[in-house]
Amino acid sequence: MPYASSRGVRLYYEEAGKGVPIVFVHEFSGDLRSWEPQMRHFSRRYRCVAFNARGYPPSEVPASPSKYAHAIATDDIVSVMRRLGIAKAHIIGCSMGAYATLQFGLRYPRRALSLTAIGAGAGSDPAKRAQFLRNRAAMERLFREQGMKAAASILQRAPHRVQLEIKNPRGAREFWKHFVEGSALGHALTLRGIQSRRPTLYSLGDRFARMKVPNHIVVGDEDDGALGPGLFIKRVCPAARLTVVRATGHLVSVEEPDLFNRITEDFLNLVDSGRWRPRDPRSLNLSTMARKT
Amino acid sequence: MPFADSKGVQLYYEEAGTGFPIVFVHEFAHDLRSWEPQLRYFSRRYRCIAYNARGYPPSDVPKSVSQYSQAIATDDIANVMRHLGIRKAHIVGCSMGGYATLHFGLRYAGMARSITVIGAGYGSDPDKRAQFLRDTEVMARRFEELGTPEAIKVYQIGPARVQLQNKDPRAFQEFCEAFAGHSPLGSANTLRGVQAKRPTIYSLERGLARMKVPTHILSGDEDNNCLEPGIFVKRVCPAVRLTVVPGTGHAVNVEEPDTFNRLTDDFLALVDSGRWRPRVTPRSSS
Repeated sequence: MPYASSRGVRLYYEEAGKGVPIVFVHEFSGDLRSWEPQMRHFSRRYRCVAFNARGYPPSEVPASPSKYAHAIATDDIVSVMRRLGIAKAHIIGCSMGAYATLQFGLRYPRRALSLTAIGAGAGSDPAKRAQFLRNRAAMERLFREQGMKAAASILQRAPHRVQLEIKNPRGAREFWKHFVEGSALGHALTLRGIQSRRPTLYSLGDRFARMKVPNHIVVGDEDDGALGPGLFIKRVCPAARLTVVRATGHLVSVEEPDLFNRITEDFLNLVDSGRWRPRDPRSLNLSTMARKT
Repeated sequence: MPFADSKGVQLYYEEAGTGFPIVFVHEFAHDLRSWEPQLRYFSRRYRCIAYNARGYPPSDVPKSVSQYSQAIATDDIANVMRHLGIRKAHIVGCSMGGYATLHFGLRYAGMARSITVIGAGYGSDPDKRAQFLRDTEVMARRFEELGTPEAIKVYQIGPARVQLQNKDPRAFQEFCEAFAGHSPLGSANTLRGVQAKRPTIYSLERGLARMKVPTHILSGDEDNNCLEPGIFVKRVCPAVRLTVVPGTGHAVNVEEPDTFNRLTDDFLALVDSGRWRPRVTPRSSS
């Protein structure tokens, strides 16, 4: 099995296809298997790399809480790229992986051809911040005390996850079957070290305003925690484009793989062609009329 | 030329295809020609009808501003349908036509199998309401004083139009030419009678919360004034699905016809199949 080493922790990865590289970064309740429809689609034209985060076997599950942090999760992307000799790639992440992807764009812009961030922003809303942190702490206890199955039964009923079950029960069964195979310790430490401590997206506004990497923010219209942050990034960052996907929850790439692949392909094509441009400053005023003619 | 009578005002329409009907309702800055890519695509499976609003020749241009309002614009849709013997249709509207379509869903629910609303919401933000009303009056005067081709020079390169200019100069040119041919009186009356006086999206909350018509709201991600109203409608109405289209301004169907046609085809097919369901509440809205 292929591994990349990142600060002494072994990360499992898979590869498919040849060409310009795409690196896929999974979310909290998934692992690299969540990207299967993307690996199959994009490997026709790209070199696709997906890896499991630390805490997600076959990647190592370090027992020390200090080994889990959002900055480390971002560095892990770089470590996987170095292992594979990849200088620059399109980075695509979902949820927790989308957060790492956006941080990658802020910290390693020269290594990113583009960023695609799905469902990023949970825990950003200041009015719901305290509730978010309480919820993370309760989830951490649940993982430690009752294990993966108990956690699955709660998570799959979350308001931004029920859409998968409603639309695609077969896909949902597979998704949660994969989930319960994960490490309860790894998930508990991920909740504590990464999810509860990362800065909110709203607090990064100044840095997003300066970020030049072409980026595509993708959010389900029923992913309430991510809609506001998605709109926020679109507004502050001229390099951002925003897609909201209808009747969809948190896991856009899992819930709507065909649509996600299509809009992502459009975006990657535009960037790869060299014709991508940031937002036209003329589009920023709030009238219907131009400021000057 | 075919016309439908709406309380004495003659409305010009065009038809293409056979099957279940779709009625297309155009925006302020355009006319039925804006739906050309949709008429060509959907006429393969649907009976497509597009008409010009009052004030847009060849439709009549009533002289009195009292002949123009949100309610009348909504009734005009029903009257075009009645003229054609259509009892129920999918309604698809853009911007001003999107507002009329949304009101149609509220007032004529029995005549709508579904509604699709593109880029509606301008003028809804309470903080910018005063600026909206000023802008609307400025534009109305420009039409009266300068004539259409000169009046629209500030409008056709507005902040939610430059996207079309940048991405599809040929379509932009066509849009400007069609716009330049509009009646200055009809445009000024539409601005004052319909746009300046229509209720904001936010004021429709109670009706929207109860609306059962399957609804698809679409907005460009750079259509500054329509993004929040779209999210608002999604949040209050369980029958609503929301799409935001990347790198796109106001008239999504003109800027991104392929994307729009595909999304709309998916939505109409879901509704036609009988498998459409409203948002699961309260599980997915807590």
